[in-house]
Amino acid sequence: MSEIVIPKRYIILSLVLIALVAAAIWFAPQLYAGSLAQAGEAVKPASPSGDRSQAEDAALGGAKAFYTVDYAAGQQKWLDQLCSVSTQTGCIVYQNVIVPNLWSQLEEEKIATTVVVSAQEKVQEQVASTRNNAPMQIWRLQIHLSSPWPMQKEPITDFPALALVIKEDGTWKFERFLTEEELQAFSTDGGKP
Amino acid sequence: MKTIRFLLLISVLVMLATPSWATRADEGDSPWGDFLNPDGSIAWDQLTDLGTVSEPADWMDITLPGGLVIDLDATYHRYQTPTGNIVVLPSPATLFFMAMNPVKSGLTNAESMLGNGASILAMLVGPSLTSDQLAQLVSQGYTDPVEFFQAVIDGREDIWSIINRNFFFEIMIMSFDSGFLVNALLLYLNGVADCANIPGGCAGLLVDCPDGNCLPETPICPAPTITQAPATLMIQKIAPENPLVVGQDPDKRGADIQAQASIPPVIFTWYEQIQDPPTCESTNSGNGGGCPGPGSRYDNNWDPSMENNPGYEVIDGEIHCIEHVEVLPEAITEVQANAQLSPESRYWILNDLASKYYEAYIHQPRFNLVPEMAQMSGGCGGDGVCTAEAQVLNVPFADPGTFNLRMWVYTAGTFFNWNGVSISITQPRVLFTEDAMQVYVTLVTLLPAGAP
Repeated sequence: MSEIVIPKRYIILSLVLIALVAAAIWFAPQLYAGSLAQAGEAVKPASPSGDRSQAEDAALGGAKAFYTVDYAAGQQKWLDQLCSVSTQTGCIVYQNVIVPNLWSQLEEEKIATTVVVSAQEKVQEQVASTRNNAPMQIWRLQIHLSSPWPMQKEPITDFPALALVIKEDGTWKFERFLTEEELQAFSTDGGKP
Repeated sequence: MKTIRFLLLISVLVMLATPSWATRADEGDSPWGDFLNPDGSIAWDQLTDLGTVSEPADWMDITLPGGLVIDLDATYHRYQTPTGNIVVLPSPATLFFMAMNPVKSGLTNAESMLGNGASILAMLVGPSLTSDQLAQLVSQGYTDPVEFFQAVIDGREDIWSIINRNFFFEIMIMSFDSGFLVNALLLYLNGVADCANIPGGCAGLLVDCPDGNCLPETPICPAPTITQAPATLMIQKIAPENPLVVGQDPDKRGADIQAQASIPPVIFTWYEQIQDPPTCESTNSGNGGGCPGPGSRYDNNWDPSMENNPGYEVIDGEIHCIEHVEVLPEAITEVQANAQLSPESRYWILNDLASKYYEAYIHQPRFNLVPEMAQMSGGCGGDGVCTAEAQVLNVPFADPGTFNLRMWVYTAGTFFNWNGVSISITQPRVLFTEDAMQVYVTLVTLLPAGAP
């Protein structure tokens, strides 16, 4: 019986090739997404499958935190619940601009509302170039408020909303609500300015 | 991308570092010369503080789902120069919306500002520009982003044509971070005569002083006050009662030194000038300008029929002064302490003692106690009092005599956070105290026995 001898260098070369192919398969999607991100283009689901529901949850949670208000619990309670689901940037703006300007009327009118929020669809998905190319999504929501707020132009309780969510430090967070006009600009740009 | 942003940042910083106002101030005839020192700093004592004023501004509305509109008021802190010009400092949120709506907000009416309008916009939104946006600017014929921002200031371009609204909040945060005290001093000329075009309107302005010596008449609100109880500093020997030089002490006990500092808070009392919301009143003259909506800005009932109705007019609300008392802790940033043999004791050792004990010398005349031999502990309590304490145990004093104990306490000064902006109230300072302690030595004296 003849013996087949495989030189050691061929074995090492084969192992290196296998490792390179494995690395290419593993990193290619990330590199591809990164190049799209740099170009500011929209990125279709390159994210883990769980991201979709987590982003949706962030949008729902943000809307719920915003419209669930109890004047008796105080302004800080409202701000805390909002900041717990918001991006860092969003929290600062809620703290300094949004909440202080809404609270006086909510407290004066003794507003206590609960809300039921449902997600209609994801309408956009992009990367945030100024946030280290973090993924971001826009969700269309339907809001059902238990009673209207005094600052509304019309005292409606059922209305649509657009929520912008961004993945921050690995977790999807609520940034803010968008207007339809902003969404249009967003869609026209297709992720580009 | 990073390189482009870096270049943009550098260009903005260069513009801010060499602002046009500095040159103008040197010329002597610039209105900025009223209150700018030769070194470019602001001579606040030349300015009359007109206080803070807020006014409705539809260009500051934020729209939320469900027909919810936040009618933000534009807020400005204003000063009047000796020649009657008005310096306006917008609040951070106001500055943001002014930048985004330069024409509507009256930003374009300003004579000039520290830096200039384009540099402020570049500062606010520049970091948000992507490489594609910069490329788009080039395709529109702008070789420098600042040229585009100047076009926005001039009303020739819409800023939203280039700025992605996704970063609305992010840009707003930048206006908070920019420190509006430094970056957005807007100067409006002719004070009272042209007050309708000045952010904040005519209320509270002083009458023009043609002789260029405008002095405040009667301030609406009291001036702010700053008070602070004296700090308590102490450095002393705590044990043993009579420390012996370690060379003569079989236990090498040495001495224990204690250093303590306690700084009471700064009490900053200031008065906020606020105006009640306007009311919509009927007028018999029939020449009223009507009461523009929304009704939420009025203190009384309003309905759409009052809008553009000459039978109604807007009556400004009353002005009140609200007292705010801020307790500002003055944090201790560093403590240094040492023990040093006094010059008199050095002389005594080297002369008197050496004459009796041959080759008496100085072993260690100085000990760096803190932070070398012990660390301070402490912090600021809920009452605003900041403390620091250290105990340096068994300091091995080897020389007899008087040691001067000295302690220096460095503080951070105090700051007041107003609408997200940190304002310096008192400057950092160095406090000093000293004490003295004795280190003993046993001297043997030979006495003739039986002497009377």
